[in-house]
Amino acid sequence: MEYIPPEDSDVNHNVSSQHPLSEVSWLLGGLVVLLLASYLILGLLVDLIVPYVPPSTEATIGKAFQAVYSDELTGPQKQRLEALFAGLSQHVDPAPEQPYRVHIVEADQVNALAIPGGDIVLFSQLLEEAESENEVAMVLGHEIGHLTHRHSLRSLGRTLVLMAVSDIVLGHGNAVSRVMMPGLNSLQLNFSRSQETDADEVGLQLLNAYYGHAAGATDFFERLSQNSQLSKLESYLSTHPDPAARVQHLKDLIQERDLPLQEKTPWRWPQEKS
Amino acid sequence: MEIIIFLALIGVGYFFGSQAEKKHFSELGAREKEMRDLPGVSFRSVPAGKEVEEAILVTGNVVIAVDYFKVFVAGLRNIFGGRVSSYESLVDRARREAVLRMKSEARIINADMIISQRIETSNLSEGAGRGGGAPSIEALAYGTAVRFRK
Repeated sequence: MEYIPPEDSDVNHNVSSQHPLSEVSWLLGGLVVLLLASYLILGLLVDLIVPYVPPSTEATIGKAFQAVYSDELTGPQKQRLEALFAGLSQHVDPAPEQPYRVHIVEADQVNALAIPGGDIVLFSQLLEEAESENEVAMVLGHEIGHLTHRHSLRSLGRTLVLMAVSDIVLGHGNAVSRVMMPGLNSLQLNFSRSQETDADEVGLQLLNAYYGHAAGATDFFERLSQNSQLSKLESYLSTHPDPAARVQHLKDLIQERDLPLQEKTPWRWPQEKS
Repeated sequence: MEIIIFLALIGVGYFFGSQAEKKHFSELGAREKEMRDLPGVSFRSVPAGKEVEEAILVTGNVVIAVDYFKVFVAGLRNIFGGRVSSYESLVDRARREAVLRMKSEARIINADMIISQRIETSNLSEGAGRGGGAPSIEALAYGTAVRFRK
């Protein structure tokens, strides 16, 4: 038997010829598609389920976020806002099973939150910058709108879905979850533009029902669009997109429904001692 | 911040890893050419009609570490399944390097052939503490180097 050495060959049959960078691009692309698809599908499921979630369950979910308003302002300041809030709430149709509640949290933010289960949180900076009571009423009405439409529950569900999907695919505590976790804890939920519009419409309707006219409906958003460079307002802008378009929409609505505009009720915050 | 570190690790892994791999492959090719007259076979005995003058056990082993980029690609691959091609080249390099080192050892006795050649691999990082750390692969080649009486 004679040993014949093998011929020279440049082909390595043991190693795949695909370039590693092209493999990475395919895999990453596939991963993104997979994440998007599962997010969309599960998000649609959330939208399907939300109408069937009983209010008691929603209240239980909302209890998980009590920490957001755990050190709320009390005393005459809260009483004043509550009086306004109660007046607005009377006009909510259909009336919620559990009356909605309002909380003030001292913070340097011009922002308001609607927590699933019926808690509304206003940050004190918003109350300080308000120029009329009607304006505050509009913000409250807007948040009530999020609650009646159950936007908060929906958005929470979507956020949870995204976190669940990213945890399953990328492992627990991955970058995506870490970015979203603080937002979820403080309930900085993102609403879609159409959700904001729906909430604005409820707000306008409540404002008009309470005062008998719609003055002040656009003041808050108008100021937002003027001062959009102001960093304090940025947090509000980031969750509530495009104030200018919203102002226009509200103005159109007021014209369309022929709502009267009368004298605004003055607003002082913090209140002077009387 | 963590994402920047992560991307930097992947970038460094890709740059240095692919340079090293390219260099290693061209080296392997040249050295295999050099060793071509020394066959390593898996027969358990010498070919009929040959008389053994000297025989020793020869071994060659090598450990090759995975770079961050390969780990990343393999991690993505775990989601979809399929060939983990980023690790294929490592196994190939380790196996060929180990065989070459074994053959270098066989040169000491001027061997004509290595019989009963075996190759084994193991994953060194398994159970090495750091969960999910980058693995490194070990290849061990061994056989009996024989010199025939002329």
